[in-house]
Amino acid sequence: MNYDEKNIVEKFEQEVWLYLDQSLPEKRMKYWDKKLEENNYLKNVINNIKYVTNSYNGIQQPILNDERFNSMVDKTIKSKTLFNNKIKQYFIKEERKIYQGKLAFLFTLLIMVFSFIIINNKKNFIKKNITVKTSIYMDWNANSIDKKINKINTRIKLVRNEDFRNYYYNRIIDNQWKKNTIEIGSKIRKIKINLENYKF
Amino acid sequence: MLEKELIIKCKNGDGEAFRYLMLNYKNKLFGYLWRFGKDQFHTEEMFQETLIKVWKGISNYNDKNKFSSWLFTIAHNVAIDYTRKKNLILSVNIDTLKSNPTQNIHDDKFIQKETVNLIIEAVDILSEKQKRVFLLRQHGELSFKEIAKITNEPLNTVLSHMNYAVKKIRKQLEVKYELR
Repeated sequence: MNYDEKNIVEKFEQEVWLYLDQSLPEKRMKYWDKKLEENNYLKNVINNIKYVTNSYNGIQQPILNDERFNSMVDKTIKSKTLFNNKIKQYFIKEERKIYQGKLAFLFTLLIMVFSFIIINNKKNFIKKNITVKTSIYMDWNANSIDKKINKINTRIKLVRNEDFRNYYYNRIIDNQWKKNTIEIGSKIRKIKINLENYKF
Repeated sequence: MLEKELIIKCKNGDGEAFRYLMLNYKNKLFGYLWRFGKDQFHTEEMFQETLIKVWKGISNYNDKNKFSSWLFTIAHNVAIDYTRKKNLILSVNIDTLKSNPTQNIHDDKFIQKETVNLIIEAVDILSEKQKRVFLLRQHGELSFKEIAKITNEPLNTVLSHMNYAVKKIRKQLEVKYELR
């Protein structure tokens, strides 16, 4: 086989299956028809293919007996439930497409209304949540908290009373001190005046 | 009844129509799956799985595509998943194959015992992709464009897989004749 023949055989091998299927363009089909008449190597390519495929097709092919096949089909049909089947049938039929559109529109409308309601009731929704939460906490150990608050209150009161008493006590003492010093001062001043009057 | 009518009936949940529809493909499909399953048990399991998937998915089948192409796409995916899941080694079990009765094959078409073994062995030796293309072509009787769609490969790649597959099988047979 020379170089040109080799080239043609390689090209033919690339297209041979399409040629056999007759799915090549008409011009190309005619081109190969002509070449096949002239070239024995190309004929060999086709003969080899036919030999292999015919040999394979001639092999005993395993078959599934009818009884087994029927039981398998029965099992298959049962696998699809009646409910599932009916729903699918409803949506598959072409005439249902209009209803599908309407259904889709209704669904979107419902979703819009629902979301609108949710948005509007958002505040109340939060409040409700808070009240629920506080009530839960109050119920949880209200007595002990009450007791603790009372204790704190009484302590604050005690502290306040004590401070107040001390304050007044100190204030009184402070006033007395001032009074006494003022009195002592005035007495000293009187004594000074008296002393000045007495001239020894 | 036409295939199209059967398909419409199947879409409407007609189980009997499904039975008739699948009856046309029963042997082709079983023969194809056998190449992956290698024995009655595994092949029947794959066949059942394929039936269920076809029955459940027939509502999604687009009439624009060829039914056989769609059917073999499902079978192909089932076979790939099954062999991976079960970790099946794709070895030949010729005895079980030969023990099966045949249909539609005339005595004069039978090829010799050794040749049968050699062809089956040769198919098993093929790479996964070559084997896939070869079997889809032989059992599914699909065009290469359809096979390219199923395998998700370019047309030229599929064609070269087929060429290599045929050459390998041919070589195996040549070896046999040289030995003789």
